[in-house]
Amino acid sequence: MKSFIQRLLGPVWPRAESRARSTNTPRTRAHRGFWLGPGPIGLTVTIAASLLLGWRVVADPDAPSTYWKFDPAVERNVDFPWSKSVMSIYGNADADSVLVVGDSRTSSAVSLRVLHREGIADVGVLWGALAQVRHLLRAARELPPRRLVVCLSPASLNSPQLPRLVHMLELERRLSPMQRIDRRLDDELDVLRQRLLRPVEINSWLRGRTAEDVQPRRQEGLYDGLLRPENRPALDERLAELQVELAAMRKEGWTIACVRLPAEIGVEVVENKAFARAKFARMCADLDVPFLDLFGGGYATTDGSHLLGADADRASTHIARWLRGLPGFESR
Amino acid sequence: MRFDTVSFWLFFVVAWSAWRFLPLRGAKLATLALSLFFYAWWRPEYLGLLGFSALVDYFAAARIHASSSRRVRNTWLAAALTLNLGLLAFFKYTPLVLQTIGLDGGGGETAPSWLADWVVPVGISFYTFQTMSYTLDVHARRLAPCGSFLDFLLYVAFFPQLVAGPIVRAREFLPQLDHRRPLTWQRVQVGLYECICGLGLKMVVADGLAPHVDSAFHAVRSGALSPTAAWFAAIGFGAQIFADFAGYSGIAIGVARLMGFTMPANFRAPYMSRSLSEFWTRWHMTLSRWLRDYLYIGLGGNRRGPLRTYANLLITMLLGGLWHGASWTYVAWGALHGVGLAIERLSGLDRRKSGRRDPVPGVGDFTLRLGRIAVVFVFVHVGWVFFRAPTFGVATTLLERMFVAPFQGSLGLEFIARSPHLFLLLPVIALHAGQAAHEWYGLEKSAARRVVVAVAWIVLIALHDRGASTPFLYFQF
Repeated sequence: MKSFIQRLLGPVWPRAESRARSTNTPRTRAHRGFWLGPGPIGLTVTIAASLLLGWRVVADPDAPSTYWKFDPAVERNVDFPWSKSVMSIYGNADADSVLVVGDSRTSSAVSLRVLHREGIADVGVLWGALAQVRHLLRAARELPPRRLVVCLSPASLNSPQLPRLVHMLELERRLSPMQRIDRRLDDELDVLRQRLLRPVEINSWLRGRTAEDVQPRRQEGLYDGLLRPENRPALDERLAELQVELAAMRKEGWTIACVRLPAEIGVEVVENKAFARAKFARMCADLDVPFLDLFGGGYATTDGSHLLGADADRASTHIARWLRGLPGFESR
Repeated sequence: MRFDTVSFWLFFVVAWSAWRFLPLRGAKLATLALSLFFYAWWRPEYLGLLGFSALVDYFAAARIHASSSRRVRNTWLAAALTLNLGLLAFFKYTPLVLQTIGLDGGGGETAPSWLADWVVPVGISFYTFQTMSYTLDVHARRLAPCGSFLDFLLYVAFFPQLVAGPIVRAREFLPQLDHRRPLTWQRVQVGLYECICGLGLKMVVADGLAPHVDSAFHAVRSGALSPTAAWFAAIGFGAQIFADFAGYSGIAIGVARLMGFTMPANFRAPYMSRSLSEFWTRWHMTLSRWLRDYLYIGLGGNRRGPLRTYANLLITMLLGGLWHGASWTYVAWGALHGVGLAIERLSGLDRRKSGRRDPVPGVGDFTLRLGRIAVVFVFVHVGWVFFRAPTFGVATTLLERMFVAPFQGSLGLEFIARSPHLFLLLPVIALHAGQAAHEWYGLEKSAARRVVVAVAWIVLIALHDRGASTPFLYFQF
């Protein structure tokens, strides 16, 4: 029976040993010379370089997809080794640069590429997921005074830190000097790669193609929990403390502006319910600090809180043009 | 030092130059010094332990060789093994023992700080097995003792294999120190190819899958895992650990090859195995042969009747599981494989285990072949659930989601559409398909094919933004 089936159907795939020719057993001397010498290495480098060059040409840095922004944001990653807070500045950390601080909304909404294009050339971003603005300012004040943009949200005034983030910060604190060297060198290589090749996070890129993973209501529950009624009284206390701290920083020589970054309508409703929208504007007016409120602008997000690529560009353009008109924020 | 860091490749340029260009004795000294530097880069405090372990075995092997008295030889062997295994047990299993007998202060946040900060010296499981194999080989008169402590310490500490293998035997490595091998273009080609593939597997596949697998295992606790997502958790971890460890081994072997050394292969497309015994000839091959030669055969192997054979298989795999880590879930993983191997031997299913260049007569045989691969694949991935799960509760819940939940409700197939990261499984599938084409149909692993694969990996490595890198999984073992 088995042999009958074999005769009927034949081999699934004819055995290839008899047909396969190995390039390791080449036919001519020239052929052998190429494959057994440095030829394959040169060929590999040439083809790979050509493909990467092709990608570089095809990948338009000014064309954000629906999901990710094509932002070579990490130009430099500066640790605060002297600081109790373990944080990094992405972008430019020089004294004459603009420092933007805020939570993860900042990292998704502020595009260094767009700011640069709009004339705000040297920008550094100091951010953390669910970061508290008081922690960010404490780290920032260890730098020499400079121009500062504070991204405000109720959750960044007062919210409990997630255990996973606490654990990550603890791991960061424990890094040995050698591990810091490793990380610094890896960052430098990554910066070079970002500049030369415009890499993509392939998962996000694929999501951007299909937009399947955009869930505008995903973080409503998170914010509802963070801003639950028992946490609200502390928000006003923190706001008052922030006002005092910003006033002190201005006296030290900082030039300050504040921005309320947008979110999806559902999250905006949650935030407005917990914390009156006018409070930030009032604080800034009291301090005589410029304030830009992007709430209610109809921006689209991936998860309710983080802007989609094209909307991030729109928000960054708005911020850049606003900043350009403020005294002290013109590009130097 | 990790292979996927810039620091390592700067270090490697120095190490390669030292080995290739200095006079042989100077090259050995420099390579040893650099290997110790490599080991000490993150935690220098365990250098002494490495040196002590090497010294014990060097000295014990010399005494064993010098004596003709069986009693003296056995005494020295027992002393060396006790010391090696004692150190390994102390550093690796103290927390587990204290936890098991309830002396860990309740565990978690209430555990004493010295226990909470307990660190297992990196690579101790690997270099202990290497030094033990040396002493065992000298005792069995398979190997003459090494005449130079410098050479022996270099064998133990040689940086490509020091931290996570392959577990090289002294008789494979020491003769390579007698003279420097010429570096041919073909050797350079293959070495670079192995490094590139290893980096690709680690940086693209393993690091890419890690956060998704982690979140899938976290989601088990909340019970919000569909059957499809549960299967991804198991298969994703299988691909992650393969890419991670095969990637590491590939870089180690490639780096050694570029210096002129040859090391044994550690992986050969393990998920195309048609039996569990074949799986263990393809997965972590250097550990498998160590366990076979020094433990299974040492226990009597299959020479003492069927019952004893099954018991030996079970003991070997139990200890192999425990070698991987101080947790009862690793023991369960080992036991599962031990029982599987015993059943396979009992049923005679392990007979066609070599699998190389079998004839492919027709559709029937081909289907049978795929069927057996599927059975072994599922069995191995059930094992991975225990291996990866932090507790038995998580493991059993996940298995319930994989095998029972599909008959009770929706399969949750929409997970596939929402999970572009599934594309990260493709390189692992392609690698296995390539090996199958080679073994079953005789397609050669030509230089041209290497060019195509290397180009693909280079482009992926260069363009894939991997986010946070994760430590090699086998560093913890």
